[in-house]
Order: sequence, then C-alpha cells, then structure tokens
Amino acid sequence: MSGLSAWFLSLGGWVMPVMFCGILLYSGAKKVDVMAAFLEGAGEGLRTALELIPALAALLCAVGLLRASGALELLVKVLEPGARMLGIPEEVLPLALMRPVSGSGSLAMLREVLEKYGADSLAGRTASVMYCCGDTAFYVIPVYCGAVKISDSRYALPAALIGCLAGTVCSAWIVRAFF
Amino acid sequence: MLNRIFLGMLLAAIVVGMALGRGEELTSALLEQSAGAVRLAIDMAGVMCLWSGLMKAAERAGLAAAVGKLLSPLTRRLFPKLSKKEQNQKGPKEGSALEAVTMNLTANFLGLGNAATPLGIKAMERMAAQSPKGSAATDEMILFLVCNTAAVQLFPSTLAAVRQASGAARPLDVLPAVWIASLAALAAGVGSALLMGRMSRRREGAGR
Repeated sequence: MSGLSAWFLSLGGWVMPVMFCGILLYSGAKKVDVMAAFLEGAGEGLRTALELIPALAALLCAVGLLRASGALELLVKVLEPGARMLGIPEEVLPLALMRPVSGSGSLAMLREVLEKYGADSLAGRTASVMYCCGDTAFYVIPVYCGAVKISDSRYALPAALIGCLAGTVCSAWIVRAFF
Repeated sequence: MLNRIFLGMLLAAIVVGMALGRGEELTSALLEQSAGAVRLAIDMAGVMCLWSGLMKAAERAGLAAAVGKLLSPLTRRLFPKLSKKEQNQKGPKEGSALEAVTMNLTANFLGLGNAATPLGIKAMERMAAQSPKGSAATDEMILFLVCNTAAVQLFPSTLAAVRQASGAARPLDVLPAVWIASLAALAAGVGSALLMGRMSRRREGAGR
C-alpha cells in the first residue's frame, strides 16, 4: 500500500514537465508555429494575472480584516462542531463556505490559509484540494440559465451543492490519508 | 451577490474589531493585504503565462478537439436524450447540443477558463432550442450545469501558481488528491442530479 501510494504521489511531480514538453513537441509535429502560439497565449495569461489584482486587493483586504479583527476565529469556533463531525480541519471551513459563492473570494481565502498555517500543513493541503473541487455554483447556474432566459433552475443548485459538499469532505479525508 | 458578501465581511470585521479594540491590527491588515494582492498576482503571473501559452499551442494543434473526441463516449452516455436526437451520426454532429456540451466540458477539463463560458452558453442555447419546458430547466440542462460546477481539471494552474507563491516545498504534491476529490465531487453531484430528476418525474406522473 505504501509503495503504491508513494508511486501515486510521485505522479504529481511528473505531470507538469511531461505535459509541457509533450504538448509543445506534439504541436510542433503538427506543424504549429509553437513559439508564436506560446508567446501569444503567455501574453493572455499575463493579462489574466494582472486583471486579478483589483479583485484580489478587495478580497484579500476583506479576509485580512476578518482575520485581524478576530471575526474569522469567532466564525471558525462557531463552525467547529460541524467540522469535527465531518472530519474537516476547522481552519479550512471559511474557504468551504466561500467556494460555491465566489472564485476570487475563495482564492483570497486559500491564500490566507496557506500564509497563516503554511502551504505544506494539513490545513494548507486540505484547503488546496478543496479549492479545486467544485466551481462557483451560485455564479455559474444563474449566468448560464439567465443567458437562455430560464428562470426556474429546479433542482440544479441543490444537486451542485451536494457535489460541492462531497468534494469538501472527500478533500479532508484524502489529504489525511495521503500525507 | 459578491457585493453583499464583501459588505458582510467588512461589517463583521469592523464590528468585532471595534469590540476587541484592534484598530492597529486592522490598519496594518489593510496596508499589508493591498500590497500583498499585487505581490501575489505577480508571483502567480509566471505560471499563468506558462499555462496559457501551452494551451494556445495545444489549441492550434487541435488537441482540444482530440480530447473532446475522447470524452464524447462519456457525454453520450450521460446525455442519452441529446444523443438520441443525433442517432444517425456516429460522433456528435457539428453544431449539435451534444457537441457544445462536450466541448465545454473539455475546456473545463483542460482549464481553458476563457473558452469555457461562451461554449457553455452555446450548449445551453442549443438545449433550450430542443426543450419543451419553456422557462424551466430540463433534466439535461441541470445535469450539464452540475457537471460544469464540479469541473474536474487535469492541471489546476491557479492552484499551482498560488502554492508556488506561498512557498510550498513541492507545489504539485497534492495533484493526485485533487483528481480523486474532484472525481468524487462530480460523481456525487451527477448521482444526486439523476436521483432528483427521477424523483421529480415520478411526482409529475403521480400528479396527473
């Protein structure tokens, strides 16, 4: 078991180099001007990163204020019994609440957990996994439904939130099992 | 929505902060975090450049279409009603609802954030064109929305960038855990959507 899980964990280290070189070489073989495409895409990526700054400034400040005022600790204390029942480290609960609501808000919460408890702590790793499973249901569903004038989304939100909750609980269990 | 949350956070912070007399801490949090936003974005920019450059080359090489073809047996099975309307074709037909659904889920899977939303709206439009229900979402639309919010990502580039910026020793050591947890989230979401769809059909049947 430990050999298998070690092998599985080492996969994480190989994904990026293999994808990076593999995809660029494949594109080259397909006669794509790889350098030009890469530079164009990288420019877009740079713009995306810079466009993050306003939302990050607003939300990192809001999260920072919550932390500094003691309100975040209070919230964590209130949520603690529920967290213990589900086996989730209580430090990541504010992120779990933010996840279905706002993308930049969850990014700010994730950053807060990584800075406060360390990226390689149990809370930091759990928050990282949690950040990735589940998108902002409260944003995506209204936007997609609104675009085609659907006013009644029926059971879409509850089903999406059940998925989100399952992802949250699973993140905590898997991180605890792996690390 | 985000506006209200933002205001709620500010209100909670100032009320609790005043009660506990933490003026100095609040001041330094504001100054530190606003500067920190710029630092974080700059720290993340490199990885984000790398990823979108890579994805641009992949798109030009037709890799997104190839991944879409790989995923299409899965989407055909998940959306049998949409594929029944295209029975005569082998793969998803050009311009069909199923094709837009598949391409949107592919864009999510590859982390092509900017490309995913227009494709998703196109998928909703094409499903709406076939829908008899008018202003209520069909079961297929709901299943699609759930798949979309549970977005399983092959390589979460934002996470990689943030963990790198926050000093993780091996930023990607969580990747296998991310895959498993997001597959579990997807399975739970799809499972409950199918179940709730069946329950609502049964209720409608009983009402008649």
